[in-house]
Amino acid sequence: MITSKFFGIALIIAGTTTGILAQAQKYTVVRDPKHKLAQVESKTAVETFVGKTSDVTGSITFDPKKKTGSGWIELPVNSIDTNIKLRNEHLQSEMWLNSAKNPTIKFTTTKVKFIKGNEYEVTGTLNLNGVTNPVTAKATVRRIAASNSTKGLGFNGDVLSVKTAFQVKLSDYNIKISGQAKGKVAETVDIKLDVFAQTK
Amino acid sequence: MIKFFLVLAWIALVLGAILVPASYLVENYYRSRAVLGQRVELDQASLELLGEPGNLIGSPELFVIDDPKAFLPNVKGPKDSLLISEAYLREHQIYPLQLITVEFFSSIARLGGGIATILGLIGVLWIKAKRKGPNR
Repeated sequence: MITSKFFGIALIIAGTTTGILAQAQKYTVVRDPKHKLAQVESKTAVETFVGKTSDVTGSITFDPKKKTGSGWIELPVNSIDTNIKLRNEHLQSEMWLNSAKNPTIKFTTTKVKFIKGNEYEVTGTLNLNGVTNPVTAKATVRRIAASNSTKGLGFNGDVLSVKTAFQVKLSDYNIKISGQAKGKVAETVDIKLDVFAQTK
Repeated sequence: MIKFFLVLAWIALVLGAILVPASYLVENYYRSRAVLGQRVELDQASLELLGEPGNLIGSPELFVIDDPKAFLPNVKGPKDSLLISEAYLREHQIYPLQLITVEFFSSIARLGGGIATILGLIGVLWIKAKRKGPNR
């Protein structure tokens, strides 16, 4: 009798806890630059260069039960580093990303569709160089419940890992390759995002 | 004056003739040292929570990096590439030279050498023909 009562209570507690854990939670992209990276990869005749930044902010809502979510990610253009000062200046110039006029790049989700396992198809809008276009990308989303391990790594609360990659056609964002770069720089660049977010 | 141009044409011919095969040799030398590598920004959180070494930077490329310590032992990246520590490159100020860069400059050197050879040859033949001409 006592045993069955105990199991009954345990089941209620377990059910309630699962219900709480399965609810949609709001995550904020972590501050620690080691745990986040946005990058743009461009193929040129001379080399394939990568511009990267850890100065990524954002907010993500994720519902593991319904397997859906929403959110936004933003980064300042002038934080993108390509390893070469002159190239950074070119990238931020009026001819390319025009950081003076359009200081940020922002991706906002409009629809999240579950595929399988940790894979999702994310549809959203990308604002780049002052132009907003729809974008669809595959994303890997993994939720890690708060533990001593996550706490030890400096995270507060539950942790969400989001990884996504998609291609962007420069002309769609009013970026025209001209002058010496014409014919030497690929018209399409790869954008990759890899961030950790946390609930607290 | 003609002698000066003849010397100039010979220099162009010789330099061009050296530059073309030299560019192939240099390119092949770098190609033999190139390895498929994947740059990675190591992150303890990725390793402990996701079982991944960190954030992969760009895609696998053929790199020419002399320092073996830049490569992570016992771990492979996408396409069976060797993982290259971005932090190590930064710390030791190593620029990750890509084979495509060597190939680009080699092809420019070949083009320049080829043009110099042709112009030098034309110059030498033309000046010699002029010297042997009916007025001489």
